[in-house]
Amino acid sequence: MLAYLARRLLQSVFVLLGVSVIVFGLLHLTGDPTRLLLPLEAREEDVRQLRTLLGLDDPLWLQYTRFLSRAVRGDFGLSFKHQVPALGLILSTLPATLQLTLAGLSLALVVAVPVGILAALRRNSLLDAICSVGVLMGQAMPVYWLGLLLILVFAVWLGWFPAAGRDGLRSFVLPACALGAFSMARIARLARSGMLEVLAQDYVRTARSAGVRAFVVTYKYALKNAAIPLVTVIGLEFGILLGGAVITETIFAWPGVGRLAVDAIFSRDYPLVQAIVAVLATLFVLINLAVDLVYTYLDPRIVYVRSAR
Amino acid sequence: MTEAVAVGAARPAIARTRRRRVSFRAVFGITVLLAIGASALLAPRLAPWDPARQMLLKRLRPPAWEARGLREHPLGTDHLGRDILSRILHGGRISLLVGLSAVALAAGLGVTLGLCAGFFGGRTDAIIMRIVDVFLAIPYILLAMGVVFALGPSLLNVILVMGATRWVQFARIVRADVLSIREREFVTGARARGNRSGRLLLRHVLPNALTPIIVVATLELAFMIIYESALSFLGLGVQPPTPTWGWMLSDGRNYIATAWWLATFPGLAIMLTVLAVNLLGDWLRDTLDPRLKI
Amino acid sequence: MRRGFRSIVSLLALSVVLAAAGPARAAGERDITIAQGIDAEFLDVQMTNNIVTLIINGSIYDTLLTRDKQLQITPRLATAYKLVSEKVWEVKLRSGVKFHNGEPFDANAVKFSFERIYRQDFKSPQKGWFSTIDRVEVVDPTTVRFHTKVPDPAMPARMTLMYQLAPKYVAQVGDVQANLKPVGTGPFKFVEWSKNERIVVEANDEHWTGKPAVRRATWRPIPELGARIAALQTGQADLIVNVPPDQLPTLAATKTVRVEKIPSCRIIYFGIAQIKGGALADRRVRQAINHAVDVQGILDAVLLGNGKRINSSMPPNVWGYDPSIPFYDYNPQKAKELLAAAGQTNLTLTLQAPNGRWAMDKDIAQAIAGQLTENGIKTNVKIIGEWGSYVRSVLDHKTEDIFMNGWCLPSLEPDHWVTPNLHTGEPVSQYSNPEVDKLIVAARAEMNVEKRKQLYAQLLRLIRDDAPWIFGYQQMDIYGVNTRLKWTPRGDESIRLTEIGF
Repeated sequence: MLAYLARRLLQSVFVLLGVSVIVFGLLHLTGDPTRLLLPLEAREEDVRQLRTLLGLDDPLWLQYTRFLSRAVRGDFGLSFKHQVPALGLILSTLPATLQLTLAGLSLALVVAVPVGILAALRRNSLLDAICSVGVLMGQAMPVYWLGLLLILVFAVWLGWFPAAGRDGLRSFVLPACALGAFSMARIARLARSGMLEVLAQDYVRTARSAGVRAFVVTYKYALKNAAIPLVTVIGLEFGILLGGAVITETIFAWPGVGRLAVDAIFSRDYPLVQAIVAVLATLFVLINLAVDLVYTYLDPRIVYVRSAR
Repeated sequence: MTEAVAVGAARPAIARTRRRRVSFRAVFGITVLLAIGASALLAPRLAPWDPARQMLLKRLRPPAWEARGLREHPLGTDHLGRDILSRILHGGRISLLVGLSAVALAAGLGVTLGLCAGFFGGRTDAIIMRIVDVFLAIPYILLAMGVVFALGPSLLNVILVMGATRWVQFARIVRADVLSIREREFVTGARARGNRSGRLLLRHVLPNALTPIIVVATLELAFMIIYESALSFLGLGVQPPTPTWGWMLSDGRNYIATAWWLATFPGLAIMLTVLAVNLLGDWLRDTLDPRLKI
Repeated sequence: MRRGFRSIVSLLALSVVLAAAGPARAAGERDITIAQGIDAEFLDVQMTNNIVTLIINGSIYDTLLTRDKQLQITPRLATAYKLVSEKVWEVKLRSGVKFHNGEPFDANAVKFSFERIYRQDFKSPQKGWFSTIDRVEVVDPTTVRFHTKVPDPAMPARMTLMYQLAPKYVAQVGDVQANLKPVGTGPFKFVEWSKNERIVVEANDEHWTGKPAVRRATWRPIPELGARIAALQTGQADLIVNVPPDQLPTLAATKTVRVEKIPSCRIIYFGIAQIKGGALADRRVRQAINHAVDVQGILDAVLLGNGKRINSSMPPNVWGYDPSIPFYDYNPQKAKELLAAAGQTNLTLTLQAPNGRWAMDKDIAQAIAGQLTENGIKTNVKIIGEWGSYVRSVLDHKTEDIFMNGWCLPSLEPDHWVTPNLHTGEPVSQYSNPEVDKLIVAARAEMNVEKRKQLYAQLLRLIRDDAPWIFGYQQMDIYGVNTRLKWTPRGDESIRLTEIGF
């Protein structure tokens, strides 16, 4: 177990290094940000001065090494645009995104898992078809369209929820719906197939024929096993949700990292973009690490299967 | 992380007790796709107007069945007086073109890397899997934005970027399949007989891995269509005046309450296409390889 | 395990509930919320030249002079000014003014605020605003003298942009903190700043202009137009900016909302890159282009009439404007004749425009290109969606043949409307005409008001005839306001909290 943990940690470190290389290299394709930071009347010397000040004239490998050595200490420099430490800026906006992502994920789970289970119980019936198509529609709608429609219907016409911003519990609902809709299909499908597998198992059949109420049977025995692939998928869904959060945050004026990232990319704010991707990637890796640990706890066979390779 | 998903809990064999009957999903999916594909191909013939033609005097006309609607514009006009139906038909071409090309690229990349990883194992496998993890860790949309930004938004760049960020799914699934196939007798046997790896890969391994590839490709196509529209929404997609569904949605987003037809029809088009593709993919998966956990 | 699974889910839900940030106190009757498209870049006013940021900072900081509702210069922190000699301006300061932290405002603050902008390591985009000033001399606590390098009739206009910072405070807390917790002399005090979420300011009752009617103001950035309008309709926001004309019907339908419009100081024009030479260097071609576009028609169709044509390079609300200069009439026949005379009957051009920077920009650009094509000048459109690239192309003089541009500087100083975009070699100018240059330089230094006005009239007419641009229009700023507020907009794009009543 310990050896497994050590291996996973080492893998994670390599992954993060790879991320840093990609992010660094990518951004240096985007061109020169100095023009954006200076007023219209700036002369060539001002531009040159700024470039040296920001260290953009040094060879790439030097810039990368400098970047990496500072990054591991948490120093991503000052955001060009906001002139405050990049990491601090991200950490202050991260909670908002995490809250939204969790809300979206929770909503997706709360809706999709029962739907999937229901579909499995009534397999191949009309209900099954309706459920499948229902959640698939959620996945088929572009998230920003869904968001705008939600605002129109529930905020403007019905007035049940606020249209934008983060202002108390009610303001979470619409963005979480928009965000979570995409994941619902995947989760429902997994819940359904996991449930189907388990239902076919002998011990479940036995329990059912023994007269225990079907309801109790499914929830007690089946859910545990259906949960296993679900737990794994949560880790991956998190990454997808973060992607969707970028757009959702823009529509709903949510003060999170997604909006910060869009802004940073458009204004070529190198340090901020690097820091954002680094933080999000680290988060993703950590979450998946945690998920893996939970997974092995649920089903220790995995460790042996893997170590046998 | 990647290994866990692929290997998964032990796969119990499911008795295939399903009755043979025509699946609604397959029929629906294929029909819709054929319809969309046909209209996309025949767009220049079918479209009543030039999609880029602005008729400023006829801007924001509702669909023909409404009071202010016009017969010659069945789905209405947008804020520059362009015919919505024509734009949808032409937009379908782009959306499908981008989607299919990007999937092809992603599949090409992913399958190759997955095959190498699964077949050669060891160090190659480890390196490729780490690269996969790296791509998974970076939020795809930020990656896409960054790249399109750097290279400039154009049809080619959008396809490249989408293909380069989504190959991961293919790699993982192919690798998993290759790993399990590798263990089988006939491959070990063939190797013992001294067949070269390359031929082995192509003749024995690849055909067996084909089914998951098809399933993933179908599901990824759906994702690509939405992905492209998201990039357009952010202003980074294929540029005007080429109409794409994503741009139409983006154009129409400010008119949702007043001129609902600007955004609704492209939105429905996207939804319908993606739904059809997803249903098809689902059916393919259920028929070909229900154990796939994707 | 079911319990385990369930508890994970409930833990998630619980954390969401607990962590959800709610408003710190209930909103009162006299509290308002203003929604703009972006967040303030900085609350250190000297770090920005962005209009949205300046608007927000304007509630916290004061300037030496300011402009009233009619855009005439009036006293603020400076009560009087006079020319002592050609290059020396003496300014009298208001006494008894204190910064929000208690520090007194005096001549030292003025000297400090000016010198801070020009500090070597201070990256201020305002360096260009005061480049004619050589130094600031403190005469006594309520008197300063500005020594200029050249005679500068624009000094009063510059003084309307001199925001005053508290020297001791900034020295004590440093630049980073001065940005996060700003201290000024303004009618409102800073309360909190949650990036991309809100900036809250509250009334400063000790301000010499009296107690503001608004008690507390929250500035919210809502980038998505649909959400911003929805916020207004639901009462979440009391005032929103940048409403495009197409949204007017939506707002008209809401009873609690009214629309306020005002002609902006911002002009939209289409620069013709004359320095590229060839056909574009021929004045007849440029004039033909102007005759081939029905600006008014396009304004009516696309902007629903919410825009006023400009006759030359200045809008009516900038001093120096001459209403007698004629517009180019829409005359495709004349355009054809001019093109034929210039030998350019088969012209193909490219027009570039941004996407979403100004109201319906890409749509207007496409409409204009379409019209030019109809009238014999085949024009392709290139939309550059990313604003940074667009700015770069303009500043580097690497644009297409015709480039769309918007222009407004908060100084409202006439020279700023000709030098940067029409003088040879200037950053935004792709035009060169020695006669125009001569007039620009002369008008810039002319201290006599009457003569200066005449020079500008002459200059504007010359510009109109030489047609370096397709003369577009003056934007109409459209605001959405909740009916409970008493407020009318200003022509300089600014929003002053002290002008809001109930």
